[in-house]
Amino acid sequence: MLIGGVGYRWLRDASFGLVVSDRLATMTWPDRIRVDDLGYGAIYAGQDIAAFAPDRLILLAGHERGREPGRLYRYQWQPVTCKAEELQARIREAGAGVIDLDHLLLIAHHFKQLPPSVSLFEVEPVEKAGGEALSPAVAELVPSVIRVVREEALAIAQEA
Amino acid sequence: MCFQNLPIEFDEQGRAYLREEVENPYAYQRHEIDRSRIEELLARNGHIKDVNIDPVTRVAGALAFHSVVDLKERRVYEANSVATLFRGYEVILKGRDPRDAMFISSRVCGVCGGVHSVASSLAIEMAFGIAPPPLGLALRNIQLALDFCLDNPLHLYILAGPDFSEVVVKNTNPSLWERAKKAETRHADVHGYETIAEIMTALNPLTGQLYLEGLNATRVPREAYAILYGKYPHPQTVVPGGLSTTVSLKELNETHNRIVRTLDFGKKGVFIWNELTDFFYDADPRYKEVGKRPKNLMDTGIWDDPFAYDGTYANAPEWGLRRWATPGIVIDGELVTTNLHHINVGLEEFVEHSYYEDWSNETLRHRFDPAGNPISPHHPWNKETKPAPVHKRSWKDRYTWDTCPRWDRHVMEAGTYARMWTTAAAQQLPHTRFLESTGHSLKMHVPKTVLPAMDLEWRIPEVWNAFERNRNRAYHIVYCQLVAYENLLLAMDLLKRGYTKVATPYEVPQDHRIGVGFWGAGRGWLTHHLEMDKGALINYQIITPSTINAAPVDPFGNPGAYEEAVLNTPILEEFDKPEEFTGIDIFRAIRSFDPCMPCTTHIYADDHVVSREVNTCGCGIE
Repeated sequence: MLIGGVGYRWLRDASFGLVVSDRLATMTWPDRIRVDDLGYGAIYAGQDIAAFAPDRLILLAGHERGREPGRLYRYQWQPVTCKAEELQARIREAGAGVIDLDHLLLIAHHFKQLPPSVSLFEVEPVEKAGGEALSPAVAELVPSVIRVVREEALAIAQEA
Repeated sequence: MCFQNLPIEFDEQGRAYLREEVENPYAYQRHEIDRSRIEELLARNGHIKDVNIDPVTRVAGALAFHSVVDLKERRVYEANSVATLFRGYEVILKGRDPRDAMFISSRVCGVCGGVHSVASSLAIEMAFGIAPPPLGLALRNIQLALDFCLDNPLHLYILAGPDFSEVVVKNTNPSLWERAKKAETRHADVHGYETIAEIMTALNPLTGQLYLEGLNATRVPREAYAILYGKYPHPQTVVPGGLSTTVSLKELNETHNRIVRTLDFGKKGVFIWNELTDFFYDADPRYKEVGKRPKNLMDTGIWDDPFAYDGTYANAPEWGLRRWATPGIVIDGELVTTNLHHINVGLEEFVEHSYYEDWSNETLRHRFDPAGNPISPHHPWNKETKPAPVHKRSWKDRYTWDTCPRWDRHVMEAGTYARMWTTAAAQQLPHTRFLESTGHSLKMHVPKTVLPAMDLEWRIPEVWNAFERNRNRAYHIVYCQLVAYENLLLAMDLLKRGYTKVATPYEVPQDHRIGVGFWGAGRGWLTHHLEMDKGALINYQIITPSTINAAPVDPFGNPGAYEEAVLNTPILEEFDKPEEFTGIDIFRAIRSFDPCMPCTTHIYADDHVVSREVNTCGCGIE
């Protein structure tokens, strides 16, 4: 299993995924679970996911989708395909250094680099200006996200 | 005499000084942008189109481009390059421990973090007064040559290649496609494609053979990079004075294995891009005008001689000339200096058309560099990053988060080609095992792999345009492979002779220091200027290649490199109705620079400047 944070650093709530994955990475995990910083271009992040070949992937991110800000949204990613033009535009951006959760999902899906199960833990950012601190609402979510992700990952590992 | 605009001259010992009779040597009169003609044309002519390519990369990108195109006359009247996000790294780094800079500045980019880490470590080494041991330097060279071996194929085959693919050419220039079907290639024995059309088909996005090979070609050098740097793109083992990891023959053998595996793709690429470039030139010589601009290029050089680099500013002109890529400034096609001091003192950054406040009227921190050469109030060592967002973008006034770097107040360009041009022209290259600088070309003696041994030669081009930028990048891959290979052999030899040290110990000085990292990215020039006191950074300034290339109009009224290249681009696309216009020639011009916009910009997204199209994949939200 691979757990990864996605996004830019120092972008307040938009960096939520990396804040959480950094903390998860300091914990002790069973051998078959790896926690990684996936905050880089999706072309390469996808290649690295494929190289690790996890049976499950948990991604964490602060990502704007027009939902209520400051809340956690947890869901199972359902594979979607996009038009070739859009996919190539996303690949171009990823190749030019843009870091984006949807880029990673769509590009890695296209190149068959994702495992069958991809779980997403996203927060809708309250603050997304430059800076290190999360907004109070999002900071409050961090301990529970860490707990839930850890419990879920360990439970799955135990089942296996 | 390398300076034409700044009043800088040199004494008999070669030291720079300001001409005494010039009262205010760095003063200038701001040139106002006059858009009245453009506005009049837009109002009167239906066939003149205001084209907003926003953003160029379309989905979540940080580069937008505005142009006014006359579709009847097929020319571009106005072009503005817009960085849509603020890069806050210079602000974030202020007040921090200098050693943080390697890790924080690496995050400038999601692709080329390592170059920033290393540029940081060079700046710190200069400030701390240390240098890595020879093996540490050889390993640094290997890693940062391998970095470009993955960065450049990514651009050629994934980012720019599709602009020359069957699906694009068939749509934008059907007659060209018909011609391509009949155009036989000259080197099918090397690359396997019998016609130009076959090459174009292989460049098709997502499905083409070259597209997919290009994607895979990024993997092997990235593995080699991670062997010594821990991970890509943000290395974990770069420290001031070398590397924080040990190395044995095992790691070097693993690296060797991967370098050798990259060579054939590099060789093939040179022939592919030569064939494509020649085809377009033959089909319509006006393609030589696409992305054309003056031959003004700048590069700091890169890849240090393990036995020459001492990390000092005082000796930078000497160790600079020992690099595998010679530092240099090219003005109107002529190499005017290879001296890192001259390159540094001619550097200025302006913000008249950017969302920043000018800092130059405040107290001048440095009148001279550490060698006593004069520097401008606009020099990075004097600069302060003062973001000043505005609520309405104005093409006459402020329109970008990018700043405007200039050398001797010339509009400059950075790129792999600047690196190769200065190296080829200077004839100073001390390392000739695989490379040879002739004054007009760079010869590369590539060992046998599956493909036979080859002597490849990149010649300084007669014209400077989008096609030559891409062609150069294909040669640059081979150049980097050979630099990596030579340094690997050097590292093996050092190890055999017992030189196993990879880092130099240091203590963080508590007194006032300054430093600069002269390095390079996959896109060319990279400098990190720092100033520190009491063990903390008091100023940190980064100039990336895309800062230079995406720059806006300067205070003297000259457009930036992207802008100039687009203004010079003829519209050669075939279309009957305005709605059929795709802007492919403009795209080719911009993409030939390999724009890496997160390097130019970053971090702070303010609602009034960001154009963002979010594609939600949140199906099944619980």
